[in-house]
Amino acid sequence: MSAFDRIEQRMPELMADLAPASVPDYFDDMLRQAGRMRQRPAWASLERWLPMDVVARPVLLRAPALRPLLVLLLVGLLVAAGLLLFAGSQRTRLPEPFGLARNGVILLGTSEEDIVAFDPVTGTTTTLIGGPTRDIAPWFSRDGSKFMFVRLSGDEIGSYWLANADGSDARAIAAEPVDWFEFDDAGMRILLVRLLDGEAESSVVDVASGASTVLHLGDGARALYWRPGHDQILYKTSPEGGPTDFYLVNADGSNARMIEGVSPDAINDAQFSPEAHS
Amino acid sequence: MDQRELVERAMGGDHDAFAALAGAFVARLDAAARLILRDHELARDAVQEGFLAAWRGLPSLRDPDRFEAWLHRLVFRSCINSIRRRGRRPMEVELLPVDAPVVGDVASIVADRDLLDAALKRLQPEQRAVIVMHYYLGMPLPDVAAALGIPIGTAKSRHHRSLQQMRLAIDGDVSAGPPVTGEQFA
Repeated sequence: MSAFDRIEQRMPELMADLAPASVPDYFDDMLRQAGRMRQRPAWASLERWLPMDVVARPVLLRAPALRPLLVLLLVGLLVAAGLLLFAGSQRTRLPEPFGLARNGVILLGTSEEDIVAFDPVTGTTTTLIGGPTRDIAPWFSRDGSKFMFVRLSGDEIGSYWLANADGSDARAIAAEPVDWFEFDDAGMRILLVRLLDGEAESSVVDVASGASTVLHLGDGARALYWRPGHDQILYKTSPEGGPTDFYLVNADGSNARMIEGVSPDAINDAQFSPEAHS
Repeated sequence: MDQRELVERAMGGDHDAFAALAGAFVARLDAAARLILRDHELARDAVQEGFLAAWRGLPSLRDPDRFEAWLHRLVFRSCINSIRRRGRRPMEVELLPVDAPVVGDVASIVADRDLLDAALKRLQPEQRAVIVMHYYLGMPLPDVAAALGIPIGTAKSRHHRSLQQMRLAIDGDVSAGPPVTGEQFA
């Protein structure tokens, strides 16, 4: 057992030793300060009052007679049931990229710092990235045609590499420090955020050519996502002390515009649904 | 009075209830902020900012049972904002000296603590946040991701890379470690 293994097992207690937990001396001041502040009323939160507003909307028209509505409802239900039966009897092709599930290989890093593929069907293991280089942490593209991995340089994380799923055509994509990366759906481009002198630099790397396009989104853009079906990127910024804002920008970095109407309390990451084509 | 009742009363403006809630969480969150930021002043500011935001925003809390996770999110969001305000410059200060009695092999514990301290210093604050929240506060990685506002893949990535860097700092040779599995990172 190495020193690190020993320490990892006792990490919580060692951290408690490093920073003992006790009620801090500013606690009473903090409570006094809170006592002088007014709470923000619940109605000031968009997320709370919007549904309530819908529910509590006053009735402006007299309620229609009940019997015709029930008849209409019954007819509607019968039609819907018929449509469901019809749809269920048809063979439909699942939309891309989701086809019939197949058994795929599992990428693994080994203790020799090689990348291997394990086939759970045949039980065979194939070395994809071997040799004297020290390679770890493989990560498949969404279409499974390529994978990224990290090549260590000396004792440090050196650079991020890309290879085809069979291990061929391995090439360097970016040097450390990389803070974020995301494949597009087709595995043809990679969004990268690198931290250069502590500042985030966002770029799009073309997988085929290796060409990189810097997006100039500023230091605040650290989490970026492809918009499905579009040549666009979603990103967020959290200005100092301010709310999180969400933006859309073209993949070439042009036409950045803020998405209006997002809750000012939103701090977690937005995710497009796969159907976000419109 | 149970925590849910305290939260509901604090949501209604009961300052004493908020004080009781704050008292229950402030010690560990203050310690966690010190571990992440390694700067007592910054940690104090971040914790205060998080708790004051909690007091102001309590009426809009939708699920009183989620108070603890919500409070964590506010405090750690303040920590991350504090890092950004600081311009991501290295922040290295001595943590509090240990005043709690140690049992067992004292020399070994002190040596391990110093090794851990040195390894934590080598991490970026965002990486430290993941390690501290996961190991010190016992938060599962999905909760860590939610609190920090990052995808679970990024939380896993930072966790993996942080442990890798800590192993390098402590053991000096990554090859001495256990097999590296196909850990994901985003």
